[in-house]
Amino acid sequence: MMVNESNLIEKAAPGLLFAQELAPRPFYTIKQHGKEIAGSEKTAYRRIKSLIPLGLATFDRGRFAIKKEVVEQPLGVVRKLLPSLISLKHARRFGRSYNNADINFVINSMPDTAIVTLDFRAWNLTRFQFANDLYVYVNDLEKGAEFLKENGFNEGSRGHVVLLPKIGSFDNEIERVYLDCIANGGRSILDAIAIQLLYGDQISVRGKFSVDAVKKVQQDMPLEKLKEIAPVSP
Amino acid sequence: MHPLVREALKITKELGPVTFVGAVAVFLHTKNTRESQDLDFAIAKPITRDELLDKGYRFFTRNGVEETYTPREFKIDIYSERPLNDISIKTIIETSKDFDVDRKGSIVNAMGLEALILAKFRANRPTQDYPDLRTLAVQRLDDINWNLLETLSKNNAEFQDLKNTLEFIAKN
Repeated sequence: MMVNESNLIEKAAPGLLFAQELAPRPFYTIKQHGKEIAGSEKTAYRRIKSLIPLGLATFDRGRFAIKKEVVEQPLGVVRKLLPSLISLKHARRFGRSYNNADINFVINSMPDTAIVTLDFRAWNLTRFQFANDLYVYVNDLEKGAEFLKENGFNEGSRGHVVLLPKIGSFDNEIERVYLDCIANGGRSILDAIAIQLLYGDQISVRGKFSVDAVKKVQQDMPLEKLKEIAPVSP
Repeated sequence: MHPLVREALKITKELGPVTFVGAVAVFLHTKNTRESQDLDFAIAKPITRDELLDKGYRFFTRNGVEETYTPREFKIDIYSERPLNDISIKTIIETSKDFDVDRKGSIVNAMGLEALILAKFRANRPTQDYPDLRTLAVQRLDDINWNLLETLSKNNAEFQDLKNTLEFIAKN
């Protein structure tokens, strides 16, 4: 799948600036928060709409949520995030038993060409946060979905197995996981910070993170991993 | 058993009645979250450094700040006097809930759903509290005791804001 980067970024740029101006909240209203920043409800709606194709905003009946920690990234980083953002936007989620058995089944049956990212790959790299969902890049999303359905999986929003289409480069695997983590937002941002702390020499992009989030990772990094980046005095 | 819950059970056996807040509480209420390997808990009676050392707990200094670790190297943070996001330790303990964590009847005590939601809402960190609030809203919206949540809230404005937030993020 090809991505027309400049077109997408150009369309989303005013929306990104709008979103950056919003104070952090779990959700906003067009009438109050949107209008305050954009000047009018109509403009606010247009700005939000431009972020939806990138998975950076959700909208429902005059209310919206923003992936705040993702829209805060500098434009150069957002450009690098595009393949991850679009893959995540096309993600398909599956579940059968809705527990670890689902994950074990997929790990044991996935082809060699599949690539694991986010939760489980971040856990392997950092030991920082326990994994919850298995995100797997597959060559053919439709075939992957079909295989899971044939094996009793249902598609929905509660499953722990997530298939992603391969979009963009996977040459530098650690950097790709790092970018996926930023693009996913939420707790994955903490994984990105942990990756940057432990594998900074292997990634060429630098995300922008809040001081609190960086402190949280530095403070909660397991001792075994911490010894790799900073001395700990007893 | 989830490694965090296993550790929470060991801490409970070593230190007596404690109420887990944060990671363990979110996990016990939802069985579905991502957490780092640190455990925070509230305790009614303060526990001294010597008592912790006697039980094999250890202290490390990182970036000039002393941190406490369990004998199994899990980082812990103990709340005995300071409130958690303006919720008193007394309230946290009074509204806490016991969770059966295995088939042998072992129990871990954790913050009640309403106090946990309020604490997460007040902490307002996009990287940690929003995803946790979302998980709690998606899975437990129907179980929330709205009267209790209203009582715990500072005022009606905070309660309404929180209620609207939970209803929105549960669906989106």
